[in-house]
Formats: sequence, structure tokens, C-alpha cells
Amino acid sequence: MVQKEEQVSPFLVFFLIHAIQVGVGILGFQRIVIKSGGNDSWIAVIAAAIIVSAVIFILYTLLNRHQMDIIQIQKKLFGKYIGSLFGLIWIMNWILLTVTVLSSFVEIVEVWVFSTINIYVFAFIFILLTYYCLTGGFRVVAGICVLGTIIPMYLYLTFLFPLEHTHLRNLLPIWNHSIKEMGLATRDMSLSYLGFSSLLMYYPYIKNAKSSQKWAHFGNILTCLIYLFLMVITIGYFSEKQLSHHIWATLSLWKIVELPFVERFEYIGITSWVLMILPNICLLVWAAAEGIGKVVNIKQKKVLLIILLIVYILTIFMSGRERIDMMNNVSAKLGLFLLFVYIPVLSAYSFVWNKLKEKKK
Amino acid sequence: MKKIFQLFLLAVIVFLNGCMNIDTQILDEIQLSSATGYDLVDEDQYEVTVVYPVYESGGGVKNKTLTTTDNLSKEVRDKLNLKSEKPLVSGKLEVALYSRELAEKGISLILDSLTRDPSVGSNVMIGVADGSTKEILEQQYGETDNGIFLSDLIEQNMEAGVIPKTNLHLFMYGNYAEGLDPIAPIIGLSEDELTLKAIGLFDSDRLVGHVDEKDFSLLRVLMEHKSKRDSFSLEINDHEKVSISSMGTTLNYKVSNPMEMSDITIHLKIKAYIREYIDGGLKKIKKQQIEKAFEKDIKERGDALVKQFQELGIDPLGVGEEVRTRSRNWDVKKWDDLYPEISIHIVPEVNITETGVLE
Repeated sequence: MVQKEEQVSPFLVFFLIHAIQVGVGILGFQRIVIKSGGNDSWIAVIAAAIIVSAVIFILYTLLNRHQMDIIQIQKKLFGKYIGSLFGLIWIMNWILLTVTVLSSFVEIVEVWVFSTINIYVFAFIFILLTYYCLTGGFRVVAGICVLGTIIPMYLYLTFLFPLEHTHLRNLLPIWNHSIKEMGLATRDMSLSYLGFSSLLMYYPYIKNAKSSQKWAHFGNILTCLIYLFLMVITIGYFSEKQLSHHIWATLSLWKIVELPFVERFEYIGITSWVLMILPNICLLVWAAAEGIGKVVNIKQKKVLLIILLIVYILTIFMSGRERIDMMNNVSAKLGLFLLFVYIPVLSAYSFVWNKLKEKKK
Repeated sequence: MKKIFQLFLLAVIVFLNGCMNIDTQILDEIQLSSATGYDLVDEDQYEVTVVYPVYESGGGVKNKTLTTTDNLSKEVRDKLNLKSEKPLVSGKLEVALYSRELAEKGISLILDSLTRDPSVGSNVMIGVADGSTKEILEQQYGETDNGIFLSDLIEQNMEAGVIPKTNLHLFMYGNYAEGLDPIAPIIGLSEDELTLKAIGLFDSDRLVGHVDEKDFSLLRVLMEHKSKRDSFSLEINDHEKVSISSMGTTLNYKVSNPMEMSDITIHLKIKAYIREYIDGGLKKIKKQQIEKAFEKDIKERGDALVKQFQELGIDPLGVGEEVRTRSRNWDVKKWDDLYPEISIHIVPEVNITETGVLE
């Protein structure tokens, strides 16, 4: 059982969920969704949020039933060895997500701001910073999530600048795509919501965990609103074919911003974005470390160093558009499968298992 | 012990920041190019001219230009650097000019170097030069930097309601949009003075025609759904001259059967006030008569303008976009066949609400 003083208030789940959903994906999700969703992509944003809310509901029913984290649940349901094996898949998923986030951000810095930046040092600083945060335990991670949500909020105001050149009639005609296209768009969109699976690890760290469910849904709704806002502006600001050339549409929106004291806003924006990336990486690495600590009994600090080393090496290795794209694909598929297929199945299995147990009694 | 370790960690993080090998660009040690011009030399050789300001100790600005030829515009920068004592950077680029011959061949390939470069903003003005861009850029205009002078020239006219809105982003938007074609101002020298001569009409990225000065404000109100400060003037009955300025225009499309061979009507409402009225003597202003006269004139000129666009097969007004957002069976190919044949009417409605301080 987790000590009381290590637990956090239930409302912090709002920030924990929101901060991890919004990361690097938000800088360029539009192009991929619009490929199949076209001018109806904003519907996909909402549809994906609804599906994610449903998954959060399933996660909570599963976690409430057992009152422990996913590694322990799997161990209980499948036995020690198979349960641990499944646990390793989750840990891999989190590590892979961390690497995806970090290397995507390094790429953005390389392409948009400093083309000659030494990525070895840059990634190393990031890893050190993560280690520094994680030595403080879960409460510090939750705090970082709060700061990473609130401080960069002002950035969303800058997306009002493109409104001057926005043709909102581009949204019309509403619903001129087939169900299949919308399904594909929704699937691509739901990738931008991933990461909230870390809830499976930090659930025992929440006071009155049952009551935190509504906060998780609110966090998801905030994410949805932000994505919706950006999607509508993007659809109006770019013509469809033009958008297909912009890898980071959100950053391209900033190119029109001109302030009296700064000519190119991207420099400020991308630097501020570090604050949004840090909670992502901290929380994911924390989940992975906590997971390994539960699978095998080692001290968490030692595990942490090993995980950060793995993340560092993979991040350095995974540079260049093609490799990052490939990794994005792999982590997206794994994440989608785990959350939208495996979790509902697991939840159903645990329900039956519990019922049988009760009958035996 | 833990505290000391954490402090040490923080110190390492801070000091490591110096090892990231970040390029510093100190303002005194670089040349900020403010305008570039592209001329066509032959098939695929461009002559590129770059202007950068040199700030003199007295407070004045002198413009310096560098010219070189090559077939890739970033390669050109390397070549230009061979002639410059400080490295050239494009972060402060204000205007990109293309010569008429080049624009007629198509400029999307060259525009790629602007849109791909993260340091170039979307607010860069795109212009077509009547004549050689080198000649235009080598002149000294007043006391300012040439790039700023050129972009101010275009921007001022955009804001004053003379020409339609244009910049790099809007140009690319029109270039890629299915039912819309971009425009760009044509700038030229006449007797050593830089003038906005016409508005160039593009078919995707090729210059195919232009609109003359007398139709600037008409093109503007037809392109922008809501605009302000557009002025029209007219001579009624030989001796009465009237000039009006709009306080607000609204544009409404009536498309009865989108994607079919049916009429498209453009309702243009202009709320205006009288700026100038000369009729040889003081007389009660015949408001209605003036309104009618303007409506007739705008309709005639507007229909002629649309005819011209249809003959050229271009659509700067975005009629195609209007149809696309209204129909569920949009098909670019079919629309491109339909567009030149379809009949498009302009129905203006001028409403004069104020007459200035005089009656």
C-alpha cells in the first residue's frame, strides 16, 4: 500500500491526464487527420474524445474493482510469470512513448530553431532534468504536470493571430465524408490522446481514487477543446492541399504572428513548449520505473537510471524524419492496441474472474 | 546529502546548456537581407538580387545589393556570401519580387525555398516586377531600407483599401486551393518612382493576366467578403463628378444548383458616404440618382471583370470555393470544365448614408 503522505489529491488527476495527452502531437496532428477526414476532421476530434472517455471509464471500473495498479492486477489474474510478462509490455509501451516524445521534440528544435544543435547534449540535459524531477517522487511529478498545464496556457492566445486570414466557410459542407473515412480519421486522431494509460500506474497514489474519475474526464474534455480549437483554425487557415505539405501545422500557424518586439514567434513558442514536454517525459518514465519496481523487486532509483539510459540511447539513435515516423507508427499501434483492445478484454476477464471467485466462496 | 546532490545536479544542467553548440547570430555580425528579387536569365538560370540595409553613423540607411546567378535559390545564398563580408540571413525578409517573365513561367518552385525555410515568415509580400527586379532593388527610395519601403508600399495600400490583401501565406493558399487562384501586385518604375501598376492574376502559380488601376477597388470588394474604405468614383452626365468611399461592403453568393450549369449571382451591398461631389455649382444632391449610376457602373465593370476571368480560366474571386462549400459532390475536374461556361452575375446595391460635412 502507498503511504498517505505520498498520495495526491483527486483533482490533480485533471492535470495528470491533460498534461500527458498534450505533448508534441499537438504540434502536427492536423495533417494526418485531415488526410482522411478533410474538412470534417473536427468531428473526428470530438469522436476520439468520446471514445477516450469511454476507455477512461473502463480503466476506472477495472482499477476500482481491484484497488491496485495494472502490474499487480495482471499478476493476480494471470499468475506471477505471465502477469509479469504482460507487465513488461506496458513498460515497453511507456518507454517507447517517452522516446517518441523526446526525439520528436529534438527534431522540432533541430528543424525550426537551432539546426546545428548538439542533440547529444540537448537530450542529456533533458534526461538529467527528468532525473532531477523524479528523485522527488510522484508528488513532484504531479506538480510538474500542474505547472506544465498552467504556465504555457498563454500560448493558445497566440493562435488567435491567424484568425485574420481564416476562411471559416472551409468547414462547409458538414459531413461530406463517408463513415469509413471518418473512422480512419478518428483512429488517427485518438493517437493524440494517448499517454493517459499511465493512470494504470499512479492510481494507488491518489487519495480517494474512486472520486477522481470525474476529474479524469474533465481533463480529457479540456484536451478535446484545445484540439478542437486548433483544428477549426487550421481548417480555415490552410487550404486542404496546402496543409498536406505542412508537417507541423500548429507551428506553421505561428509564422503569421508578428509582434512589435519579436519577428518570429516560433522561437518563443517552441522554447515554452519544453514545459509541456517535461511533464510528459517525467510521468511516462515514472510509470515505467514504478512498473519495473513492481515486476521485480529492485530499488526504484536504480531502475530509474537504467530506464533513463535506455531512453537516452534510443533518442540519440532515433533521429531523422523516417526513423521518427517509423517509431511513431510502432508506438501508436502498440498504444492503440493496449488501450482500445486489450484493456476492455482485460476488464471483462477480471469481471468474470471476480464473479467466479465470489461463487466459490 | 540528498540536497547537495540535487543542487549539484541542477548546476550540471545549467552549465551544460553552454555545450549545446547553438549558433549565435549577433546583429552586428550578420547582414539581414530585407528583399530579394528573381530575374530569369535563360531556361533554368535565375539572377538573384538581395538587398540589405547598411546603417550609417549619421543615422541614415544605405541600401546595398548583391547579385548572382544560379539555379537553386539557397545555393545562391552561398554564392552571395562569397561577395559579402558578413553572412547573409533571411530572417528579416519583407518582400520577394519576381520578374514578369519568371512569373509567367510559374514561381511555385522558387516559392518553395521561402515556405520551407522556418526563418521566413508568412507575412512576406510577394510581388511581380514590371521590368527587371535588379533595377528596382538597386534604387534608393527615400531614407529607408528598400525592403521595408516596398513592403510598406504594398501594405499601406492594402490597409487603405486600394488593393486586395496579399502575402506569402495567402498566395500559397490560393495556389493550393481547388476553387481559388492567387493574385499579387505588379510593381514597376515610372520615371524613377516606384508605383503599384496593376494586380497580377495567377493561374495557380503562373501569371496570366492583370487588372488595371481603375478596377482595383472593385476587385477588392469582390474578393473580400467584408471590406472597408474602398473608394469608387464616377462621372455622371458629363459634368457631375462623384467619389464615394465605402463604410462597409458585404458579399453574398446565390448558387441555386451547385455543380450544375445554373446561374450564379453575387449580391454586393455597399454602404458608402460621399467623399467628393463636383457639379459646377451648389445643388441639392440627388442621392438616388447617384446610387443608381454607381450600381450601373459597378455592374458593367464587374461583369466585364468576371468575363475576363472566365476567359482566362482563372478564379481569383473564389467562386469555386463558394460552390465547393455548398455542394456535396464537388469535383475539381468537372468544375474546371463548367467554370468558363457558367453565367455569373453581379448585382450591386449601393446605399449612400452620409454625405460628409456638407449637404
